[in-house]
Amino acid sequence: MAMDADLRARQQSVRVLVLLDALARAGLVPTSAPALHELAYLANVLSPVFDLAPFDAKLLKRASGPYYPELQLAIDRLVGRGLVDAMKVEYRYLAEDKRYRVLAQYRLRRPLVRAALERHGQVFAQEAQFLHELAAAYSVLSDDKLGHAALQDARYADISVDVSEVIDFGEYDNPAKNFSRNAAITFAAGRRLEPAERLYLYLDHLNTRVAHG
Amino acid sequence: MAHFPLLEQMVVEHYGLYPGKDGQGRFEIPFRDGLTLILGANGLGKTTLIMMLFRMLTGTGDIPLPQGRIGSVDLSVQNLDRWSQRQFANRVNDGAQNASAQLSFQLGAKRFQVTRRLRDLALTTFIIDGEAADTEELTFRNAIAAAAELGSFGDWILVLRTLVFYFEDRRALVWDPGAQKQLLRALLLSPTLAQEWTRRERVILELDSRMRNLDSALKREKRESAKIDQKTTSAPGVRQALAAAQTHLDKLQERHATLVERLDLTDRMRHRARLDAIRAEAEQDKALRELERARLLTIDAHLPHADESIRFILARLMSDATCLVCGTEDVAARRQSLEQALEARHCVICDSPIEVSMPADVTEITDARLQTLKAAYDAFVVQAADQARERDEANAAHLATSTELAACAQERDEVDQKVRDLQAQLPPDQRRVTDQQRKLDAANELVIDMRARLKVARTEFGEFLGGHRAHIAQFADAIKAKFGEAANGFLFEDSQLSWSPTRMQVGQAGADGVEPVEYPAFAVDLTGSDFAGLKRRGDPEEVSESQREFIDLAFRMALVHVAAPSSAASLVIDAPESSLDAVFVERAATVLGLFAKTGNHGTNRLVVTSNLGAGMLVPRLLQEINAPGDPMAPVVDLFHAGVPTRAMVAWKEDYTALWTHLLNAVHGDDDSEPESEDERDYKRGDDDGHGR
Repeated sequence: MAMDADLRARQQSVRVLVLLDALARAGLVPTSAPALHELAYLANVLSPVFDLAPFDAKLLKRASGPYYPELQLAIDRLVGRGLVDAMKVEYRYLAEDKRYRVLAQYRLRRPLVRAALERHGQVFAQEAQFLHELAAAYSVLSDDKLGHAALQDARYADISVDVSEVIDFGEYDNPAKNFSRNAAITFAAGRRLEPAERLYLYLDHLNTRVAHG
Repeated sequence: MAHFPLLEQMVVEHYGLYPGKDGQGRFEIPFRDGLTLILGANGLGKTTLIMMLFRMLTGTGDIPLPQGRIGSVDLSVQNLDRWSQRQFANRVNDGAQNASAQLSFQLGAKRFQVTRRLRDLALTTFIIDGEAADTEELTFRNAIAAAAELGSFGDWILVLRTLVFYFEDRRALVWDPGAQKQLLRALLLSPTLAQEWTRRERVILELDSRMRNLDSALKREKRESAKIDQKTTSAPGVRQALAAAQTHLDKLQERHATLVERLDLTDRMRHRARLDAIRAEAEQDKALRELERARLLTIDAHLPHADESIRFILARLMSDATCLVCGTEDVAARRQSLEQALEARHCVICDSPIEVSMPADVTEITDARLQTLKAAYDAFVVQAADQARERDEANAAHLATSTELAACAQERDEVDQKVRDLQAQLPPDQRRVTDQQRKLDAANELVIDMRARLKVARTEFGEFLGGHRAHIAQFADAIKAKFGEAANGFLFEDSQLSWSPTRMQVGQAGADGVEPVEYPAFAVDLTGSDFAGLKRRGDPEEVSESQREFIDLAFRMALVHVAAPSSAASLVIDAPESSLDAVFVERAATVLGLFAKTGNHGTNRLVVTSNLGAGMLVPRLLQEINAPGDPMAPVVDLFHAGVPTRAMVAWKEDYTALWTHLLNAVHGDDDSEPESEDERDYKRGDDDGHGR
């Protein structure tokens, strides 16, 4: 299990770097912690649109939106290793979740991670492309909506899962319960759309939903 | 939305147990706004009175609820057997020949008056809004179900049995997913939809039952047929092998069924373990961030000019002794030296003294606070690791069962094929392509057909349920909020109700590729003394007896409040004090008072039975309600309206003392607990040397 945990921690670190890179290329830099967690969540639910397996097909539902403790630990470690800059580090008490949450802004130290990101792009080309497309689609959200859009996501907003329960879209439960993926692939029925187009349509849909509550 | 009975008055006449205050055979029980307290002693007939109240509302019908969890029980109304119809007759020596009971109550906008003979529960008068109605039971049942806005009279009895009446058997509602699904269906869907749900479910259960019975009979016949084959003389080797293969196949099929059941259990266990683990991880993170924030405030105060990342790294090192730079964990010595440096106002890097200009908006957190946060964090670390281990073990057990099932299924298919091959090897004239074989084949076809229909029906039911579950979920927040008011008023621990639909297969036959349906359900989370954070309590055994009862009561109160928004309701509780220690009495009185003093469009009516001298709940409850004019007004006194028991005659003085104590306590003259029976026995022993 120790090996598994170590491997998982390394994978998380790489994932953070790739997510921050994708966000930066989409112009979302520095990136707030809530936006980073939100993109990680959207990447999980929407990866099947690109025929990719979710990195993590479950999370604890929180009233304030997606948050992965494991991902935050990976960010912290990357800050410690000097690969990521942490700015405006502050803790805000979230009454809805009854807890403090880190609301720092993060930015890659690109010269230090460029080689690793290039290598990742070569080995995991499809995943890298997916994350870049997703981050680009995510950037259509205005700043005030970043970090809040997932609350309107089809799977996250599903009322059959209560706050403080597990949202599962394929870990133990049937992947058919990934309503976000289901929604994304049913846009423009009868038309052949590229997976990337489906991501844009879905994020656009989220944007509209957030705007109208 | 539904209506619950708002009890007005019950009059019992000529029933031996209740001669009434003047002994003329008429006993009136007025149900007041707020509290009605039926006070007595063992043997005076409190429980009988509550049961009589129940039977006045159900008549001669009942639903066959099992002792434990409800499961998928058929809620069709069945007539009581003769013995049960005479349950009140059997308690008195005249067989209740001339006894009757009359109950007046409201259901929404309608007012009912029901009179029944107590010797057999026969309906003698039935009045709706002042107009006499037909006294057929069916008329009664239809009128009641319609006024309650429920789909059927079976649902009415279910509501009474699992929600309105809390009998001494303490039937758990919040821990019974079967009862919850039925109740949420009955209360929160329209009567038509509620009925349609039941109808569809029954179709599946009946088909499931018929299919399993037929399949079982078919297997028996196949075994018999194989035995006959074996007795014939030709191809004895093949026949012997066939018999052995058939026996093997039977065993594999049995094992397969067992494994399917076990798989369902391990799946539920791993879901539960995962929930606990992911919550523990969240709690650990919460504690870490709180500690980290506190540390950061300290560092901000001492190193206001340091780079933010540096400050963050130091805060973490001082929080959980982890170095984010190199990833080393447990660098406690370094943490200590950092703390000393900060305390001495020295630079943490070069140890030089530094001049600190304290920013105005930065506060220093006290060491005690930091130590508290650190201790909480350490506890969460242990708990999270433990829960993660349990999750992994539960998942491994599930995967092992799954692997075993797959292997079993494969072996079963192989042996099944072997049986077919051996059958094909029998001499053509002996292959028993006879009427018997054709019948078996026909039955086999029927089983296959029924299995296919079952699959379709299950799939359709799952889809039907999806939409209606979402409708019920809309009420979840209101139910949770109301539960929180009541439960947190009683419990010292934090508690919450979670909307947590339960996955269940409809029927007992294997899933056959169909996903289990998700029934609407709530679950209870509670903090505990031995672990941090809220933890799912999926079973009543996971909480104490008093917690169990009041959590269930809180859930009932919440459902009553939300399901009947336009009318007040009644709740009937038999002996609520039985599980309470003195500490909880005060809180229990407050919670029960919460129900009794409020209500939708009127004041609820709480009917409680209790023994005199059972503890301080009765006086506290009477104080809580504080009836205008006379705090003792809610009391229905069985001592003066019932037949004295031998104990009452023998211990008259003791009972009188208890009455006096109660009166004093209610009027605030005496706050002490009355003496226990042991204490009284002890003193009496001192007096006469022999006790009684």
